[in-house]
This record gives sequence, structure tokens and C-alpha cells, in this order.
Amino acid sequence: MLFWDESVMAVEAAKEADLENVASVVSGIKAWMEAGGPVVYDETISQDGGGTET
Amino acid sequence: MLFRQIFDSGPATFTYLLAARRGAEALIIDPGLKKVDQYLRLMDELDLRLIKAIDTHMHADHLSGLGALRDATRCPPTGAMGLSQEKGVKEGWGLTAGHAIAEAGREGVMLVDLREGNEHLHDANIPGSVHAPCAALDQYFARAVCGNLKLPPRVRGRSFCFFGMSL
Repeated sequence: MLFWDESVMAVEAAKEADLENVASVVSGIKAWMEAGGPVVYDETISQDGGGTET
Repeated sequence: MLFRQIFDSGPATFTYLLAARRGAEALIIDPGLKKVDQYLRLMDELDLRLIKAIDTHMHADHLSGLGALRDATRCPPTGAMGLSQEKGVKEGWGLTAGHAIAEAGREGVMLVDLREGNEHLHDANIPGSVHAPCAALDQYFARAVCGNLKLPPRVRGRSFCFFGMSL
């Protein structure tokens, strides 16, 4: 089975930035929710790319 | 050898299609999302079978066509360092959701939400996560490492778990 999501590229970018402790969550938020991970619903998330705590 | 350069003037992106000859296996480098149909037509005209699709880097104005190509051809997408989730699982940097949930409660672990635009809005969010759209991640980390990033200022020494929308 093949997997792909943006998190693979994120691992790559982090490694290029010399960050070592990085991981990609396989199958992303869909798998997180299916595994019972906590979620909230918020439509006010910033989209500026600068990083926003939710 | 077959070599085709395709230019997308919108994001000013060059994409390269390589193959040994007509009817052979092909490699595509840095495919853009808006040109996927053109790539598929070109490969059909040249009777090529796509076996590898690679993004050499991430860029804020580059919307990758890797996912769309995978859906159309079943060709596995790969990042510049040869990374894929399949490889991640083997090498230990691909976390299952169960492991990620356990990690999320630990000190020093940051969850980074990579989803963009409408993928992120009107959807569930993981509490305590940081939103850093994938297309801007190169800038995100560059600024973080340079120490002038507003959020989060505490990058080094922390662990990161990335999650996005699985394709």
C-alpha cells in the first residue's frame, strides 16, 4: 500500500532545516480521527502561513 | 532519450519529463497541479508509462501535481530526498495515528497541521496544533531556524508531528 500526504514533504523540509526529531502521521487527520484523537471545530483559523496555535 | 520541458507561466514553474524512448518508462520532476492534464496527454502521445514523480523542493507558489498524478497513474510520488510514507513507516519517522495521539500528550511535542485553505476550514482541527500550510513550510522552517519566526519561537529541541490530508 502506498501513502502520500503533505507531511512527507514537511519531513523533508524539516530535515533540510537540520531539525531532527520529526515525524509524519500516516494518513493524516483522517487516521487521527478514526483512531479517536481529539478534535475541535473552528472556522477562524488564520491562513497566513505564519503558524497559528489552534 | 526523450526530454520535455513544460513551463507553467502562472507560478513560473518548470517541469521535466524524461524517458529513454517512446513506449518506455518515464520520470516526471516538479509537476504542477494545473498542468496534470497536459502531462497525461503528453505521456499518452509518447506512449510513456509513468513510474516516478518527484518534487525537488517545496515552494510557496508551487502547487504540486504529485497527488493528482498518483490518482491518475498509480505512480508513487516522492520528495526530493526519496521520501514517501511507505519509506517513513520502515524507517520509523512515519507514525501511526495511535502513536501520534500518544506523542501529542508529551512535553515538547508539537503537532503541525499542514492542511491548506478549504481543507482546513470547515473541518475538524486538532486542539493545540500549529497551523503551517505545507506550501509555506520552507519559509516557515527557514524563519524558525533563523530565529525570527513569530510562531512558534521554540523550535529547536522540540519534536514535530506533521499531519495533513492523506491522498
